[in-house]
Amino acid sequence: MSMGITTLHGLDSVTASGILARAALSLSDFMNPAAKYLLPDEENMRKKVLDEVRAHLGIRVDSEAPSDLERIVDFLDSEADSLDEPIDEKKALERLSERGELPTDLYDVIISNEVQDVYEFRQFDVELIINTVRNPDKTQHFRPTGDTVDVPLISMFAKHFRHKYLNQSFTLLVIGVRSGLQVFVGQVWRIYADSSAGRAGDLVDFLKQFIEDFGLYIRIDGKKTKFVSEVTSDKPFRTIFDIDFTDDNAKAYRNKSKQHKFQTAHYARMDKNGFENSRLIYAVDLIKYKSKIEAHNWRNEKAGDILNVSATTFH
Amino acid sequence: MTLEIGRKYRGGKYFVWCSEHYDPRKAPGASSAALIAPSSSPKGIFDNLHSDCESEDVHSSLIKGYRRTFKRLAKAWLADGSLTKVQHDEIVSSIQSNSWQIWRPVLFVIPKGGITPSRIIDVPARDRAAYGPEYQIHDLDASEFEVMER
Repeated sequence: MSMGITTLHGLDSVTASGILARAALSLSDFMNPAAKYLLPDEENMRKKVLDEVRAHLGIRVDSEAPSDLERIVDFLDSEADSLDEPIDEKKALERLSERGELPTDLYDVIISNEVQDVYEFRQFDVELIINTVRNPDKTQHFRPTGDTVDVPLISMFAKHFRHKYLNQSFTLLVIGVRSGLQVFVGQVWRIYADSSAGRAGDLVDFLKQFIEDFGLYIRIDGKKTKFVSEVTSDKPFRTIFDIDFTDDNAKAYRNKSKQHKFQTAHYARMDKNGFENSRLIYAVDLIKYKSKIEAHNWRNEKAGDILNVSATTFH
Repeated sequence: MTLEIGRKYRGGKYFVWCSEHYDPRKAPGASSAALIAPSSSPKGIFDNLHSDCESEDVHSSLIKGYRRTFKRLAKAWLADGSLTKVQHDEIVSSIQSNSWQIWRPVLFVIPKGGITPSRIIDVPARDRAAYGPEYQIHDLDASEFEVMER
């Protein structure tokens, strides 16, 4: 319970809390520049505060015993805490998330059915996805610009998983959209060391090179390509985007299996002028992708085969 | 956490307590480096913190200590006007969260040649953990060190 240090009476709570915090730092974190006196009479004030605290705790004025100093510091901390205005922690963390600065192990990971369908709802793949988001080797976040175009809040996470057989090691690329403290995972791709994507720079390049190998041709506003990193249009996205089935490979796959399986990606946000800003547009040929992971023995993979999976902790 | 706070809220400036010897246990027995306390050994601190994070040790005394220090610093910076209330709340909310990621240790490798000698402060013997030499730099710039992590 706060004793209400009399030396600090009459000061506003931020100033008083600052005096207490600097006093605590001076005892706990020697020579920290943040402990320097800031106010004209602070040296004298700090001495009076410490005398008052020592008297309250029954500690001799000249005691430098570490256990006594620790009690004094604890007391200063609790007094300073009692002066603090309440903090809306959820809001503060959501702000960090909006900027792509939230520690990624604080995200609740929600995995779309489409992703789970690709991996046949196997629990181990869910574990790998959560591991990748919570403990990534590399991340890339799209941030709001604050200008005219409000970008979709995409986050990309990559983690290399070491398999007991080297040629089956892979990097998992997880792409999702963050909203508050949640990340909605919409795309997950295993990229093996023999893929050209292994030599990419940032994660958008990494994805782009993966799409070069596994993407179908698409048409955006009539232009044929495999990957578009960004497009802004005043027309609804569905009217400008199409999968190009005239591509020879696509045709071959379609004829062979009688049904073409693909997964499209398109992350969009409407800006205040009514323009739709879409990012990371592509379509992955799932037949080609699945045959690739099957060739790397995905189906027979067991939990112990991957050497660096951490136990998943749920908040 | 230090790295992030320095980058996001302190204009890329850092207060560091440092050593010339990464692993004092490997120093020759007769050298002053061999007298650096385990609690001041960069390798010792790094290994302990790494292990606490890996095992998600909720009783980690290192993390408890850092949490309290950052909270004090946030209050001190709010009071001296170098931090806004919004920024203060972001720091405090982060350090009070369940994140382990923020406590993962990183090693600052500071090439001494690039630092003006007057900025390297010899910590007085009474403030060291043992007799071995320890140093501080109060205004280390982000451009003056490399970061290593495990």
